[in-house]
Amino acid sequence: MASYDVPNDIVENILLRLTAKHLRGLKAVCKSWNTMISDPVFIQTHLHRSKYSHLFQSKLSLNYYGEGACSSSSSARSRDKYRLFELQGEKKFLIVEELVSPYSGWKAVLCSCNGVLLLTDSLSRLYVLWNPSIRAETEIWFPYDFYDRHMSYGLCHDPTFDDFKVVFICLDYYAVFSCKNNSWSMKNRFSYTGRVKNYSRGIFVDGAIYWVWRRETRVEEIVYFDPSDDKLRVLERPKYVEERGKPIYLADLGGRLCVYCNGRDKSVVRIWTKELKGSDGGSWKEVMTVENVRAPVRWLRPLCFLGDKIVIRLNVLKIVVYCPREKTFEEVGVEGFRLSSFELVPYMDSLLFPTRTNKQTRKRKYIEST
Amino acid sequence: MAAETGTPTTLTLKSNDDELFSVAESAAILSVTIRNMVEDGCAGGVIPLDNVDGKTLASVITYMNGISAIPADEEKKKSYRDKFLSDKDFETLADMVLAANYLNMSCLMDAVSAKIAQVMEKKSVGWVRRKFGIENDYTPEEEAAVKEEHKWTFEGVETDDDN
Repeated sequence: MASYDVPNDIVENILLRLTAKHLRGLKAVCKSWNTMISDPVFIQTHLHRSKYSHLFQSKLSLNYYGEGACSSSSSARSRDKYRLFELQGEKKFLIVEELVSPYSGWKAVLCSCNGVLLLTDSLSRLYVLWNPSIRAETEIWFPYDFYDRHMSYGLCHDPTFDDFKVVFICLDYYAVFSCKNNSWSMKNRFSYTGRVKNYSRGIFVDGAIYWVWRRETRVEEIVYFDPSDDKLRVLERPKYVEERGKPIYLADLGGRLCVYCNGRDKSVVRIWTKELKGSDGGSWKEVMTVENVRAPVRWLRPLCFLGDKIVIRLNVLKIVVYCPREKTFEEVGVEGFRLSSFELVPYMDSLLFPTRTNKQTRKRKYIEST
Repeated sequence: MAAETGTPTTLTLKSNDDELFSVAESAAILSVTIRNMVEDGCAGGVIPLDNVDGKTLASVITYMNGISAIPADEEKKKSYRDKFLSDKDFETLADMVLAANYLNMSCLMDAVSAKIAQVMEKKSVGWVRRKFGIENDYTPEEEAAVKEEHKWTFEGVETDDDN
């Protein structure tokens, strides 16, 4: 059988289309393939492809289900399982893979970024970064004494330095862990009253992490963490939101930041997405109005677009496809189990993972008053 | 060009094994390489394509004619591409990807690359080496170490028949 001397750029163009799992296995083909697959530019291009080219096939959701409410019972023998869903057409979600978390007892997915998840067991100071596509995990130990039950989290990847940064925010401080430097740094809260809104998950899109910030005046704004200088800043909101001052919510819609809130009344939800930086400075664009909503907006989770329609988790039990032309909701079945108590987290096939050379030393740090 | 004169212009392409093919200019200019030659006025006589053999060129011309007959409908073009590539084996696909690269036809290049990726699914490391003509430059110890590290990725992969 003939064999082919295929040039490297053509090989690369083919390999970019394979899954992260498959590519990890193909590192065994030869040294030059190993080098190619490990190259940060290759990894970034592969991610970009998985993020945008098969928006729906590959934008999966990772779902947690516990083995029972009581984690301390002796029946918690098996590890926690997660399920990977894929939307098939407009009718149903299928489970494409079952995954076992790297440690038993790790439950909540706090946030995600480019296929890497931040997990916690909420009991200790230990956190885990986990990339299920390549089954890689690494531990992070949190050294500070934060006395805040409502800690907020975020995770971001800075492609310039190929660094992952983990951000913890509490009432008075925020702390940043750089995986590359393998170290924490403590920041004073930025000069702004208020705090991250409860249950506002850090959303990673377009190179930054976004949260809803609730000021003492109850006005809700958007703040973001910029990994280039580790600062928190305020983001301009869509004009309508700014004028009405309604409670807002954030989501990642196809790699863009999405903000949504009630419109003229509680049965209307208006959705904006932010253009990516660079195009026209990242302005807001109103993309859809959902009408006849019979659920509080705080229960809503826009999941993704499906052509000119949108897939929304309406409440814990129900996922629907909303058609703005007909103003109709069509329920999407989830085969084989009940949705309740599952958190859906955006997920994508990715080779990315923080490289850490040394193990972190576990030493408590005290917050110095400045 | 063709659209202006009303009569379709025909180009003659020559493969590296001296086969001659006639193809409508409107279809042939899907290849940026050929389009540049036409625009530079170098397409008067026979266009020699030194990197493509007759069998592959015939296949590429079938594709050129097929795809250019489809009006601007991405869905239909995609289903034509899928059908066109559905029965091709790895060797044919590899020839085509090289030809598409040489002819600078990005749509064919992408479609064939995607098809090759699909064919590679569940294939063993040995199969990939054979098909791509790659020499294993790992020492046995190194190879065992790399395979061990990524052992879980080989679940469901076809077993090698020769190693």
